[in-house]
Amino acid sequence: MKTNKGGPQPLARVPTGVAQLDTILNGGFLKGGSYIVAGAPGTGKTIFGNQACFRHAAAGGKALYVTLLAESHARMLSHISNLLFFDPAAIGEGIHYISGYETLRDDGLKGLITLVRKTIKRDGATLLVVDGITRAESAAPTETDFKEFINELNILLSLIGCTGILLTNTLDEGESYAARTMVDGLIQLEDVMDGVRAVRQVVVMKFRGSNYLRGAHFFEIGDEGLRIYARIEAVLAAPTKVPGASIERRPLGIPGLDAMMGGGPPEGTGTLVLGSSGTGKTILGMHFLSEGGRRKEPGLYFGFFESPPRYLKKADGLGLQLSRYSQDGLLEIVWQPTGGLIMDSLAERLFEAVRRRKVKRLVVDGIAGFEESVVRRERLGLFFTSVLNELRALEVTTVLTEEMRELFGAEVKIPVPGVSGFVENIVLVRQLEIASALSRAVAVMKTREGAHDDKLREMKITDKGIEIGGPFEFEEAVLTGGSMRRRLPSNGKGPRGQ
Amino acid sequence: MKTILLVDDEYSIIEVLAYLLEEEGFAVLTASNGRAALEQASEKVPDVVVTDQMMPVMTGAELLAALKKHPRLQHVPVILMTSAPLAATRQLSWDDFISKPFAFSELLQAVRRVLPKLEE
Repeated sequence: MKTNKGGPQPLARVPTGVAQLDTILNGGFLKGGSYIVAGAPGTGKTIFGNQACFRHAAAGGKALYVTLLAESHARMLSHISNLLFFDPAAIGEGIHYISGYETLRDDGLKGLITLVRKTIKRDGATLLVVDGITRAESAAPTETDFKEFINELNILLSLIGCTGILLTNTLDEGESYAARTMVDGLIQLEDVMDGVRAVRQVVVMKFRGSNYLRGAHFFEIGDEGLRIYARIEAVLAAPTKVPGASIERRPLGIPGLDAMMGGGPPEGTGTLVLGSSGTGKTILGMHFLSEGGRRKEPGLYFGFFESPPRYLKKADGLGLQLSRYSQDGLLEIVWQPTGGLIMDSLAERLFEAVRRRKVKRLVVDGIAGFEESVVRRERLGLFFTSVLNELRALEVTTVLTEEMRELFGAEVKIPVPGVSGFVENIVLVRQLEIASALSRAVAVMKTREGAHDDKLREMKITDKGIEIGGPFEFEEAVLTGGSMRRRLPSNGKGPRGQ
Repeated sequence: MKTILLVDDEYSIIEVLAYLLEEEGFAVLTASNGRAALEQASEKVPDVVVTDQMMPVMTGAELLAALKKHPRLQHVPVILMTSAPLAATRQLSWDDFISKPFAFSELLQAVRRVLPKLEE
């Protein structure tokens, strides 16, 4: 007796054609499965369906797009003709468009399933999109008739290994209930408001036979059609590998500060540089990248505020030679002005740039750029924890700058919640007033690996960049920004000869 | 033209499989349980029987036993469509079987595997 290997085999996957949706679905749709893609008008369902068809055809598959709506195909195609996936040569070859509108009106669901069956078989379709499945539900005399229609469609798709996408307007309770319970997956496209900002998000509500990334993921509709950004903390819930335990140091290139940190930040750690505006955080990052260039360690500047020419000019003016390292391929500047960006898209760009050049030194200038693109602020802590964990796994040593809102004051407020947990080192730079003049003080507040100098030291910005001076041994309350001079010894001299 | 008797209590499966098999050039008879299948087969002897296992009135295993006792039908090959574990399925002398869910191409292969037996 022969067998077909004696049991169910793992089902093959079919790419969705939408960037990162395959990541969310753990590899794509299951071959022969049926999936509802629901969303209110304007959320991108028709683009989704067409994008899936064109990408499927481009990969060598055969797609069938059945419209149950009154809208003509010509009108629909004209709306998507400017999108990058659109290829007129695929129409009639890899993709067939048919209207089921009249068949449904004249012959009901029986006529429609016959039409679908025959056309799938005729074309050898491996992907079916039915646009407007709610119309089929409305045309069903009873709920049982609609269930039988969906059941027969499911059986057909499963038997011939054709994957089905059913587009519908709603997933409200009570509507399309039969379809919702009978299909293999439900994907909801939503347009939600975040303050005054409209944000698109996709939620996978059901996916039989596979793990998937639950919760909301944001997406954009642009030239390439739908572009989803999987929530980074879901994608990187566990880093791609376990970070090592290197004892190597990646010096900042500021001898005094490196000495305060026991030789500089350890390899693969994150260092948060905290300070108010104008305290030299960006320059500190320049030193770190310049030192990397000198040591031939690939560096990346990932910034939001200074344009690349301006950034390089400023660094070159301090003798840090970042233009040279950039020209030599040892440094890349990735700059994006803030506004309208999705935080996960920034993380994707960051990791693409890190992996492409096997970056060892990274400066994120600053965290505020991510904060301004965040839709759910409560995500920030988990987001940065995941990003930093992955950077550690990639053996990247990271310097992140963060601006403190307060110029002076007794409190040190870290704007991002939980930040002290996701970085190993914290360097605080403050402006302070001494004898009616502004000065800068630097302190190493935390190093997770090894001891550090716990003295506050003077920090100067000269025409050669940052220089670290002696400790403030004769002032008190320096960190608050308003220092008080202590009584000097009887000889009237302090440690700096004052 | 070879004739296939399809036996399943799920109407939609019969409907779709019958269509696909007809497209492949087979004549298709259908029945919704073992007893109805036996009656169908007695009237017109099929070349192959393709049956589900779990059905009301008469199961696939009972149908197999009845066919093997029937003087005119005992040589008709029987293919089982089953979601039962492999071990349970092996206990009976099916000519072939396919595990649910299956692709139509697997059923076609099974049919083509048992058809040469008819020629012998």
